[in-house]
Amino acid sequence: MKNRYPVFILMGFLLLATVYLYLSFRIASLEVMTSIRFPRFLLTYLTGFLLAGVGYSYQIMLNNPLAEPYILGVSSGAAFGSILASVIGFHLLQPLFGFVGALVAMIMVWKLANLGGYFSSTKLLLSGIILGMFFSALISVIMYFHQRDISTIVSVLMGNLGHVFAVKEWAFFRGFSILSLMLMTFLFTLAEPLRILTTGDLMASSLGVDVRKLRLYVFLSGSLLTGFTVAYAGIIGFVGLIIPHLVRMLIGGERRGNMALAALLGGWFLLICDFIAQHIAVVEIPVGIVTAFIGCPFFIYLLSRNK
Amino acid sequence: MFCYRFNIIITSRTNQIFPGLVTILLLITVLLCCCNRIETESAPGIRLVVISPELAEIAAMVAGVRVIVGITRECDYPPALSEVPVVGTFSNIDLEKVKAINPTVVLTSGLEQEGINQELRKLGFATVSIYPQSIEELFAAVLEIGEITGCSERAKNIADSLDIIYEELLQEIPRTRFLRTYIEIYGNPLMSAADNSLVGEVIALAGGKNIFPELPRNYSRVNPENVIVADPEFIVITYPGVSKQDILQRKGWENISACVEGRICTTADINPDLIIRATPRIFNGIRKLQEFINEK
Repeated sequence: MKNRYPVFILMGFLLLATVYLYLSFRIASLEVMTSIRFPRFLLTYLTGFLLAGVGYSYQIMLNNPLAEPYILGVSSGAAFGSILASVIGFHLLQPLFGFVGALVAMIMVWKLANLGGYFSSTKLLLSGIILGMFFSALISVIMYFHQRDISTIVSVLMGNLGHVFAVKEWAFFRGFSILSLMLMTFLFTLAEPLRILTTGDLMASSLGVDVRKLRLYVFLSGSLLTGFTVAYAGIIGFVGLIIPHLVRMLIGGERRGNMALAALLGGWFLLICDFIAQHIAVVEIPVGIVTAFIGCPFFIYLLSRNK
Repeated sequence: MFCYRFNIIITSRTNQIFPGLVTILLLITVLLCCCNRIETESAPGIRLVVISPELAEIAAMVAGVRVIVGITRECDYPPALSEVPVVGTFSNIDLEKVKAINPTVVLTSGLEQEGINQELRKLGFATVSIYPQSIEELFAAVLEIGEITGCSERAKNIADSLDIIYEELLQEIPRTRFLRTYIEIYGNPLMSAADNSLVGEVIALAGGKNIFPELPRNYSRVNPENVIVADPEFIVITYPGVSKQDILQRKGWENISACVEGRICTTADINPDLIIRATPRIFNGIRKLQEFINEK
């Protein structure tokens, strides 16, 4: 483990350099920095941080390497709520509607996963996928009948980190951010039982892990955190899928601290992607496009290295 | 024709007394036509289906509502159109309903209506695509619809009357106090209009100096940081659901000149159709914007 310290120190420096560049690049004034740039930085880093952390925990909880924060349908519920608020004219309530959509979807998925009186991770996964498809269909209906609101719909479905905050909303967002960090810390405390869960449900149970309760906690906290990110930033793919695998490839296997490292790298990755999204073309492009363009080749490269 | 000459006489005599009077009289004339209170004589047998709200407005003014036999849900002006059968929405029409109506011509616009136009052609309908994106193109649209409906002379009179108002506005420009203006056509993400767009032209004629004169597209996404740096003196919001208070509460916007002076125009102040639709009512919108700028 000792020989990894220089790598972590280097990563720390690179992260700080990225933050500095992100906050200071072509900045016009201190006022612009505090009122526009810094809130965007906070939203971006927090979104990446939460998505990667939740993605990591979902992959273990569902025992599925393809799992990501959006797989359990909560994101589609949040996106539907957010888009609905926009098309009915409640532009300023989009985050609130998004979060309510996420809550509704979360409750429905949990109820479906418990149908028949028993619970399994396969039922949870299937319920999430089916409900996600249902909400996607509702979004398609809105898209079909409200094509003039296509800009908002695209920004929700492809990610938009350029949210303009109202003064009161900013105070609310800061409070919400602290709450989400607390919830994420709670998820970090579940890292050890989750690590045990990778040995299988039976083995984990025999080692004293309450598997059902663990899954419930991970699902609830992960869903709330995902709902929070989608409500403000829309759906940003690849972060929650690729970063956990990247950490496993870098560190090797499921180790203590991997989830926290994945979260830190997720924030960093999204900062880089958002910076590119803002400056690569004359007009800002949706950040989800950049995460896919960078994430896919990088992931293929890592796969080819780790035969 | 009499109406047209009468307006010319008024123009020459009253121009120095009260510059806006001529515009008002001309607008009243044009809007009366638009409301279909003036009977028109179109070519016999003309049956129009119009699927764009601005074209419906122009067609009603040039040839009267009676020639329009089908519209889309967005075609809401003049009010007499409410009695015309609806064949769908701006981006999705019911082809069977159009076929049942059996129009002689279908008027379509640009954007997603280009695809609809192709579909209608495949079914053998005679279609005409008109997509005015500037005031000059609005005049051309009036004349073209006049030709289609057999009301060329009337269309020419209307176009000439509108041209007088336009020329008057152009002459006023040197005397106008220009305000740095931010046009917001969408809030999430923030989108604005360039000078090349119709909305940009409207703002320029009303006395606004667009803070985003050039954008990658006529209507394009903008960075909120650039709005604060440009410090606009006048903000125009062209979409519903946002109040003046909402703009004032945006983080970092409280020190923008327009917010300090309260010079923010939302859809509660001016009907956005008067600004974003290429119809004769656009001059009404320009005058209202001018009044808004000068009052504050």
